[in-house]
Amino acid sequence: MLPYRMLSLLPLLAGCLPPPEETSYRLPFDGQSAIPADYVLTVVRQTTLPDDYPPDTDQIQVWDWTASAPVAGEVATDDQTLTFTPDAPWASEHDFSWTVRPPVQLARGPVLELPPTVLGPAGFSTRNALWPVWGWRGANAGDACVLFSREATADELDAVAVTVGDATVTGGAYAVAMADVEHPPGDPGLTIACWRVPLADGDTLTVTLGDQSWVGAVQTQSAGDVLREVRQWSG
Amino acid sequence: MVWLMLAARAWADDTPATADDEETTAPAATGDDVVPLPVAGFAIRPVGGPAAVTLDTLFIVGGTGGTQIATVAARAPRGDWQFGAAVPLAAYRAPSSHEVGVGNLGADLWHRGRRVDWGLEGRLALGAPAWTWGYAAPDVWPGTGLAVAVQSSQEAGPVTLLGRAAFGIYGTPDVPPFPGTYGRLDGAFAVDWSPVARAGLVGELAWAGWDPTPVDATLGLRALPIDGVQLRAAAWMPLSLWAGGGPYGDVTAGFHELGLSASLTLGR
Repeated sequence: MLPYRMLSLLPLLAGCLPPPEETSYRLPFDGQSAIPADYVLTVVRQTTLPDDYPPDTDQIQVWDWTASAPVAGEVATDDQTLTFTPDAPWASEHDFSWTVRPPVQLARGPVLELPPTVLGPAGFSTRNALWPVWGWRGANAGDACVLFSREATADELDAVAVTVGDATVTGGAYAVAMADVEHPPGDPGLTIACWRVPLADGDTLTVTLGDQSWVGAVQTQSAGDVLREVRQWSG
Repeated sequence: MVWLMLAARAWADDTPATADDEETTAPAATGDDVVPLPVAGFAIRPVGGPAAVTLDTLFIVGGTGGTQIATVAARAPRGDWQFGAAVPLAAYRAPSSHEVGVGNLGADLWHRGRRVDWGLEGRLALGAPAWTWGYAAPDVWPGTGLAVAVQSSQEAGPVTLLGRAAFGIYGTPDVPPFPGTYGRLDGAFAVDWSPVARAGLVGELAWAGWDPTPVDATLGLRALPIDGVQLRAAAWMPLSLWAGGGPYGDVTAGFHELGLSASLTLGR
């Protein structure tokens, strides 16, 4: 128990503590599909910028890969988000990339900061296609886990073939409950599915869906870590 | 502006002149009977003289410039007291646009003494803020506060020496690089040299902390082309910024920017 006289020092000690971590991330995540036509691209971040401070209209740039053309839209900001709203609804069945640029610091103006993790390009699609975005070795008995680009039905998961070495497993996937991971509001939907196959760090995992396959080496991760990675999460 | 000057003049006229007034509102060293607008610096405020209205403009040019500030100010004496008010308007760069905003309303009250003038300098944030700054931290960047200031001047022939010291506390939105609530101690020293009756050279060195440009110097000319009219032009030099100290931390030393100022004062 602290002596009574030391209680008066607590505010001073509190001033020496590091500030609480701030959370930043992007929505949709890199590789997400089935994005709704009216979806607003969002960078969630805490900032000290005043609400009435005009945004940098070039800070988010969007490219339509299917049409090979830039996408016009409005960049807006408040103290929690930086958003891009397209002037017209997202074209259906198109693939896009969006790039978040570092802020241009003015010499006589507010400090403009963005966490480095949210900067750079990411992709999304309005196609309803399902594909694996990330594969890893689950912490639960070394299962093979895959993040898919949208919410998948049970039938779609049953059609997925997972290959490790010479062993191929089809069906029997179990989904990771989203309640177990940080899942921000506004996410258009995803699926994390795992298969009970023996897997070691560095093994090559092949995920086959229809006539397409995705191959990659896996490491042990948690579902939460993977989602933070694809959402360019910090904090 | 005419309305402002008439209002200031009418307010000042309410008080009959006294022998003490005449003593404390001594004319500047202009050498003849021109209207005695007071000698002042740039951080050092004009105290004394007749009711007056000033239109001041500041253009900050150069690579880190891009801010323009126009200030309308009025002041009126009443006995040993002087009331002043000022409103700055600022045009400034934002990342993708040029913006215009209103600076802080300034309201000053000065008491004129035989050797030392003391004053209260208030700042009140108005709407439509301007997210930039000019000469001094409290003037434009949205903030509200109060300072206590003392000023003094000493005339020796064509040379007038002026000094100022002040301390204030200001509250601003918690938006860096401004430090939220801050105390500001400032001081300035100026020399006015009037080699001819209706013109003078003014040099001033000022320091302030906290301030985004803590040390700066100003060199200017003033002229009284006709009675009751004063023109001033000056170059404002942010020495600390040139030396590599900026509000965002150290910057490369160099000639980053220069303030060019011009003002017109009408007094009667």
